[in-house]
Amino acid sequence: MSKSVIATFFYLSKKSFFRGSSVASNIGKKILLGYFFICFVAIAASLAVISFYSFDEGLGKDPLIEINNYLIYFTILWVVVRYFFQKIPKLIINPLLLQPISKKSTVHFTLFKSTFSFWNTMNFYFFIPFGLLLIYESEYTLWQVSSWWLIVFSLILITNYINIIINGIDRILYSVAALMISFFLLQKYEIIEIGEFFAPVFNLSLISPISSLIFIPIIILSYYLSFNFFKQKFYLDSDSKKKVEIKKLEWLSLFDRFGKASTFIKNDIRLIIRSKAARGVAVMGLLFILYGLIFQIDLYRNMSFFQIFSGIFVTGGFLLTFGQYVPSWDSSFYPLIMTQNISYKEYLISKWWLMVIFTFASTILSSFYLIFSWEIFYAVIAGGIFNMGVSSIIILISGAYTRIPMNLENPKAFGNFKAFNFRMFITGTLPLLIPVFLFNVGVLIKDSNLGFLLIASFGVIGFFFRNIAFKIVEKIYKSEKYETVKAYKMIDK
Amino acid sequence: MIEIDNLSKSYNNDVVLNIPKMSIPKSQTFGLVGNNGAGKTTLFSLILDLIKASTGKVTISNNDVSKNESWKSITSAFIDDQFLISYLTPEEYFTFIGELRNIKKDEILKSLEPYEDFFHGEIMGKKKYIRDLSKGNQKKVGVVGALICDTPLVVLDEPFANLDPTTQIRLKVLLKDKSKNSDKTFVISSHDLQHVTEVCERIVVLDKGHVVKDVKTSKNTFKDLEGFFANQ
Repeated sequence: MSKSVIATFFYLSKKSFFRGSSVASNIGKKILLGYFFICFVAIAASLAVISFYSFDEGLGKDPLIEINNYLIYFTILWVVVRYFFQKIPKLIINPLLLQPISKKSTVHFTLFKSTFSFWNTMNFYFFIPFGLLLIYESEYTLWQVSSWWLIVFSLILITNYINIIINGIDRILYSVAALMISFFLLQKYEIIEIGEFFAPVFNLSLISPISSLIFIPIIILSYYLSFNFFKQKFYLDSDSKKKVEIKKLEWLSLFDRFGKASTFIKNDIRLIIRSKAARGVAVMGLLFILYGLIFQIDLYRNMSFFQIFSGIFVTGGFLLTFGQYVPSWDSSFYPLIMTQNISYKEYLISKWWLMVIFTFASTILSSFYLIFSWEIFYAVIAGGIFNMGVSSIIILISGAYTRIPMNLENPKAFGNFKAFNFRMFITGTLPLLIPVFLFNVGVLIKDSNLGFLLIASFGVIGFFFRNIAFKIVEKIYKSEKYETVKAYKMIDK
Repeated sequence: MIEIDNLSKSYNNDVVLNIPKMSIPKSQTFGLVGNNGAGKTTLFSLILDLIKASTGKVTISNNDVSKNESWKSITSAFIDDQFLISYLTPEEYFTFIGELRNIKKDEILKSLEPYEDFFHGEIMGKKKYIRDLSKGNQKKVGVVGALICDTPLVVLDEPFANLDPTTQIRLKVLLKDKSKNSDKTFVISSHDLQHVTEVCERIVVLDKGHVVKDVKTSKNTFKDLEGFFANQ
């Protein structure tokens, strides 16, 4: 790989970054992003300090041994979170195929760049302070800690490359998923304590720092595998080879009773079934139904706050994940919608119905929480009603500002800072803050049941006054229309 | 049908389109030609209210398109691939468009029959999503999608581009036939002077955002246009 090739790639990446349509041209946004970055670093570093001292002084255990017990869980978490959120590095192939640049150097460069993605570097801000504390506050040598760092960063890099492979090769995705599930089962039925089972591997750094070098061949192997995977993809048609199976979906006529809205609801269900990106987000949204299980252990059982918290999340998971990209899901054909025989209002109402129907379904599915307690059941019902009546409108309003041109075939085309915008943040937190506030008001006046009742009645009020709300929503969308059409032109192919 | 009044569009003081006055009467087949950057797509986007005019307005049937949505019920358009829904099959796409115009599924499928020749057996019943069709076949779907709805106004941007020769000829026949036997208004842009002069009754040439020619098509129009563009 000659030096000038690499330089050219850097030049191209730089240009594509600074000239990208999504980079905020206004300085205010950049400052805000910078501010969030600093906050993030501060939070990560303080987490390191807190966990160090809670192990060290709180529990009286050796922080390094203790954290090594959790390292395997970290690794699993990395793999899972990356799979759902991390954008896999993109080869800019079309213009390069015919250029006198070897395929190898293009692929190397792409992978090299992914090594420095935020997904990897963000871990530094936790593990480096933690390591420094180990040296200065515990009795570890720099030598041992460096060796430990090597292990941790190896894990991060390995998960980085594994993510690329599991994104591309289904077989490997299924094997990794199977491995994770078996880990989970082993842990659950207390056959093997996974954390402690793997800890000795990470504790190598204490016994003999040099032995952590065995991770290097593993990094190289995972790099090599993802390199090969990418190289294979280096043909324009490599993506289109897979055979397509058409799913007919006759049952969609079930929705015909919703009038014009049904046309869009049917369309959105086809979208969820057929587009990789939409499917991923929708499945994630529905998985939120299980989220409340975390709070059913005894520790939280009697804390009503956590029950309402779960009530909102289990019923609103779909709303918060899939819903926040409404109408961006239609970005690839927005001009069509804007010129068809449907008024903006009808279009928005159909989107609202979609969210309400899914939230209703989530609420029904979540009613199994009744087996735990009446309280969580009330929380689920109240949360569901609130989500249907109020959150759905809030999310719809936030959609007017989201404006993410969506590449439906590339599931990783979002989920990064690019999409961030302050209005989204506000509208994203309101569906949680309002019910929590109402709940506390109810508790202050009488008890948690009044809190649930308050939340539910707000939902009902929202539902009845939805026509007024739609007028406002329509106004917002209309005033944003041209901006939206323009933004959606920039689909990242 | 369409009235343009003092219409202009500029980006950062750069005027890309400026049409003081133009009127497209009902049932006219209107052709728009011009080099790249002449402002054709800008004009179409203004007609369809996809961008905001810097000054002036476009009205369709006396309704300002930027103020009133009633034009949507009488207009159909195909501009580019953002008018296609990639994850639908062509059948589903036509049904989708039909449903929005309150046309039943059977009726839509029936109204597709006259287009079988045009599709050349490559569209219907192929079990493919639109995203998996070739560029040319996608274009066929989009153009037909704009035609089947029986709207009084049809706007087509570059309908001939990307089509194979046979289909270009068939499209020409189709458009000529439609404009003769119905009182639909067509607004068509094209880079192909031959096709556009054959199909359209009136040709407007745009150059750097200005109307430089506005003629009724005659025997000599093609020669004139060729002369005009050769000397640019």
